[in-house]
Amino acid sequence: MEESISKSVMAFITITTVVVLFSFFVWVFPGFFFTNDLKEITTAKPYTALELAGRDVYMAEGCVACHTQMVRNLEPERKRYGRPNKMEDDVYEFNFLWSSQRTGPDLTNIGLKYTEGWHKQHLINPQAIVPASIMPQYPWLFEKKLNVSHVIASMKAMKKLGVPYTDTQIENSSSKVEGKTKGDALVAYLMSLGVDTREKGGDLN
Amino acid sequence: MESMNILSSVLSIIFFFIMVAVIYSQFRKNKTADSNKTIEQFDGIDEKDAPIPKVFFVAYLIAFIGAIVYVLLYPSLASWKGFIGWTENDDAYVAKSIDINNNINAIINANTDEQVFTLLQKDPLVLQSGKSLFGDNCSACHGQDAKGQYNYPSLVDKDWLYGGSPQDVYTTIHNGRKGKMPAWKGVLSGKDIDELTQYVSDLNKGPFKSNALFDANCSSCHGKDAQGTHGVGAPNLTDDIWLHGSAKADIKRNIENGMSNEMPDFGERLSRNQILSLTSYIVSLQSEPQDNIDFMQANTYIFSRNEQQLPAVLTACVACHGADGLGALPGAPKLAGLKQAYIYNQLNLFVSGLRKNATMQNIVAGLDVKDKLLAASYFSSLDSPAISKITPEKSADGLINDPTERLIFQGDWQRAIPACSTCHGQETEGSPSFPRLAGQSSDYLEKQLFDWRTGDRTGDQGHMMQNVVNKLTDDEIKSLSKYLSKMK
Amino acid sequence: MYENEEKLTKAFVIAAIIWGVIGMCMGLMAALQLYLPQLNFANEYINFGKIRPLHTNAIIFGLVCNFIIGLSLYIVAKTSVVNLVSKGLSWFLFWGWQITLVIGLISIALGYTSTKEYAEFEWPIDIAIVVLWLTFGYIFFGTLAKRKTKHIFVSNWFSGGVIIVIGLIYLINNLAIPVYAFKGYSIFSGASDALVQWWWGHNAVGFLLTAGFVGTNYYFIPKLVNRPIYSYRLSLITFWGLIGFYTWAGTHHLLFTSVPSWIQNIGVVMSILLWIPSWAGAFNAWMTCTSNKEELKTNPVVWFFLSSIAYYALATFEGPLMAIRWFNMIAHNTSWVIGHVHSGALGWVGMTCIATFYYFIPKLYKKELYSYGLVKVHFVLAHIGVLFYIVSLWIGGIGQGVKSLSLTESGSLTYSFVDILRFMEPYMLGRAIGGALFILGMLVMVYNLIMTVKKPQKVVIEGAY
Repeated sequence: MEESISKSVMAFITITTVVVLFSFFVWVFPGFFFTNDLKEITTAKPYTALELAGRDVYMAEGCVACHTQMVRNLEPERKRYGRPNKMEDDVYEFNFLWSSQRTGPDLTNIGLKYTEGWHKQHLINPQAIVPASIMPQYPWLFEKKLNVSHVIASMKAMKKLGVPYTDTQIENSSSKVEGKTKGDALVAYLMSLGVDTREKGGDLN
Repeated sequence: MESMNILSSVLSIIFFFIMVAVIYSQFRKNKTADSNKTIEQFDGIDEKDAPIPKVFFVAYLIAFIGAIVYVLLYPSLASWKGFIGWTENDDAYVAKSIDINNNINAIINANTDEQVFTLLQKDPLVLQSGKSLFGDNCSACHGQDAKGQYNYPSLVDKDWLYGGSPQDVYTTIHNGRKGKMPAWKGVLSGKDIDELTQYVSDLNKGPFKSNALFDANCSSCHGKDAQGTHGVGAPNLTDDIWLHGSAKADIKRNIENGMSNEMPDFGERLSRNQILSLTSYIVSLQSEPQDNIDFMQANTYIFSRNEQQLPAVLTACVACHGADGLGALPGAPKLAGLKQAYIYNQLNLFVSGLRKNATMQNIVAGLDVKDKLLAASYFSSLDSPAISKITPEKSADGLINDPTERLIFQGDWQRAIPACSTCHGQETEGSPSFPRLAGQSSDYLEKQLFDWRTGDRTGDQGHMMQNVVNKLTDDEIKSLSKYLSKMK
Repeated sequence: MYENEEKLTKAFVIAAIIWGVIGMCMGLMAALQLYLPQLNFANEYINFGKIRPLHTNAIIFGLVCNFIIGLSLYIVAKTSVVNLVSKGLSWFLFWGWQITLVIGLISIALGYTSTKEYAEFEWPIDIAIVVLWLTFGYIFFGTLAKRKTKHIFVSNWFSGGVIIVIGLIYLINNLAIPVYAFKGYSIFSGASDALVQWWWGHNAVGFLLTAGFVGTNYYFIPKLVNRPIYSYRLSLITFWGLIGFYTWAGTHHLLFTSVPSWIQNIGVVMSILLWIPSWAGAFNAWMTCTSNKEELKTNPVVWFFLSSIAYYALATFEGPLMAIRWFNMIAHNTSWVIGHVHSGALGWVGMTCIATFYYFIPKLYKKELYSYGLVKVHFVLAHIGVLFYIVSLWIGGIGQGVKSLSLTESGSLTYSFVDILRFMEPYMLGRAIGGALFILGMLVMVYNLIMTVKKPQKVVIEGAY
């Protein structure tokens, strides 16, 4: 059996494909069906138009290269970053942003920690506030305006994917993001992280 | 979902046995291997038929058995929970550490609020925990050394926007603060703003002078004397601490555009005991440099057991105040039982001239920090007479009949006079920030109250005491002094 | 007979070298930015968030894919004793690939990215890549189907495996709905997107960076040392092990995350099983490579192949180790992972590429290598570079992991994030120095190869090359 791969191209293609698909059907495919159950129990709320625009900025700027959004359920990790992620928290995260590198701190619950003013100052010049920081500076974010039609397109796409936006929300979104900069949106996004899933009684212990 | 799980589990097992079958098949055929045989030639490359070394089969055998054991023990297939009942929580890396919650709870249950913070600051584990919390939660704004930076206040100086008592700091951490100064552009003319800018920037350069514009627009938050108000977090403008820049351009910009200075709340992120640890750490930073704290603690300990001979530097003190701290000369207050922080603070006020008394100012001028700490810890360690509980007679509507008693325990809200006991404690027994009144000599008390009125004694937070005394009549001052001196 | 194949392979190999040098320089830039944040220049297009995906994509789709496509097509034609099935399509593949890559990298710099690691390209680029990959598959399998040999040569199993697995997984992982030009959202969310991504992510490593090179080694090592392949049987269990276990191992990237624990655990089991076929393959290559004692003593190109096998063995040991839950607890999210990846990427992939270039480019141009002395210089630079790199990140990364988890006796965190950042500083510099030395070696190689190609005289080479 195992040697037929060297005898026929068709056998080779078939065997390789079948063997590879085992893992797909065992642990990738079932994941496609999580979503509906998770929607039932999640406390996560869909992003507002401005936050969603900020999330797109977060993705575009490659923040995931250094920041995770996945607090592991380990005591030291809870103490540093707060409540560990649950599967249902990320049900509206089309493109998950867990990342795999923690060059900078985890941002899962960052919305509970700083003020908007801090984020703005820090994004413009991180080293001015935290001298040891190695984060790049993002001054241009506060000079570039959002593209309103892109934000509306993003919301519509999210709706198609199953995020419960109403048509009115989508229509009203243009007024919410009109004239706002990319930086404003990013700050709004960061300030929203961890807020909807917040639990009372101390998450940093 | 369930059928999906079963399918998934079955496929896992099928896959596993396919892989086992491949290896087993090769193991069976391995005997026919011949290193010298060439199977086929491709583009001049011969493929030889050397046997697979046994070690690989052994390794596979071990690995396959290991895999089966692992899968049996742990949840590794969709609907299989494993024999040993392991869950991810078992792997949560819970450190085997001392639970300082027990320490903190024990301190809280057995002590009054003031003592709690003093005791917490002496517990190295509490301070360690506070320091650790500070590192990850506070230092991004207030700096690793807590000395603050542009826009973010220093926590080691004595300049507090919202008050620096442990209770204030606790409240600030728990609830956060939302300081807001309105924008004056458009409200005031450009000329007025320029005048105010000039006035504010000169405030810390000479003796205080009032300004009509300031009085009219700014004094409701920053105070008539521009010393700030803790209630709204309005900063003192007469000192040399400028959170948002000291240049005229900065001051003007802040007057024009206003200022929103926010501290996030941690009440829902940190537990009560974590906030207590953090508060203790922060308060321990601002009170004194660490070596002074150590010095004070060491001495307090010794005095409280009365094992040490009186240090020479204290001979001047006891000459008037008495070695027992109960006052040897008329006019000299009783110091026994006053709190260390209060005494130390008063000594500093004499130095700065905010409190005036020729004799004291003369003596204190020659003391260094350690001498002052020594004096403070000595007198605070002395026993003071206990105060018996007083139950004033009340009328039907709950008001105390005797007007003097009423001032002490209830205050007079018609005249906006708070009760003495609000700050000085239920029995006027005092606290780290406020002196004990009960049993103090009446001459001394009377003189102090009049000093507050004349401004010979100042240096309190927000001119609280002065404001109160200004509302008292001379008769009331005299009767209060007499009454308080008799409380024992 | 193989004029087109040779020309095509030359083009792919040169493209691989160019992309490789570009990609490595971007990597060095990224490494330096982590040491000196001023090097981000507060610039929208070249800050670390952009440079990092540019680096990984330039290396994976530029160096690695060009190398694998070019050489696997050459090998499949030569070992099947036929010409490629279509000359036109093969050149479409070449130019299509380079153009797609250029557009893709520019789009990442402009901020059009899916953020999914090694799959950052947005949907228009994904479509182009899938079309090109299918073209590659068609040419490859079409050629293989016409073969004049009885069996399929071992190299071609691995290349074929790469084509099938990468094609399938790349396609599924990049399923997205377009939002506007160059912006799409994955059709999967949260945990299920994470599962799909790491099904891809680990196989990008397992197939593009592993199986592809195992395949070319099965051709080039015997060619270089002029000795037969040690054991057909070992190749067989290596192949089955890789295609079997590799696709399962991806969930070890998700240990301790919110995905169900059984999915995490199955990844641990498979990752450890993967160790055996990996070392079986390494053993086979090692035995082949050391079978010609004469070459082994004198030829630095053989040393490069041997070193690459050694680094392969190291990385495939470290991998299963890091998949074990309590190692993963420390290693996850730290720079140790970066160090591990680079002991594979610089040690295994890099040195395999280097050795192949040194052997194959002179053959392609029918010339003698310009200088073996420079190869030795390169050998030293490459080794010091890799060692500097991985040792720095072993110390820095393991320290980072341990310090992040460290608690005091009172149960509070021993080190603040900034403490850890400060601790990492020297190791970040050490890593950058390692990378710089490695690139310096690459430049020595480029010089050596240019001088080789420029050499006037042609040497007569006997038989096939």
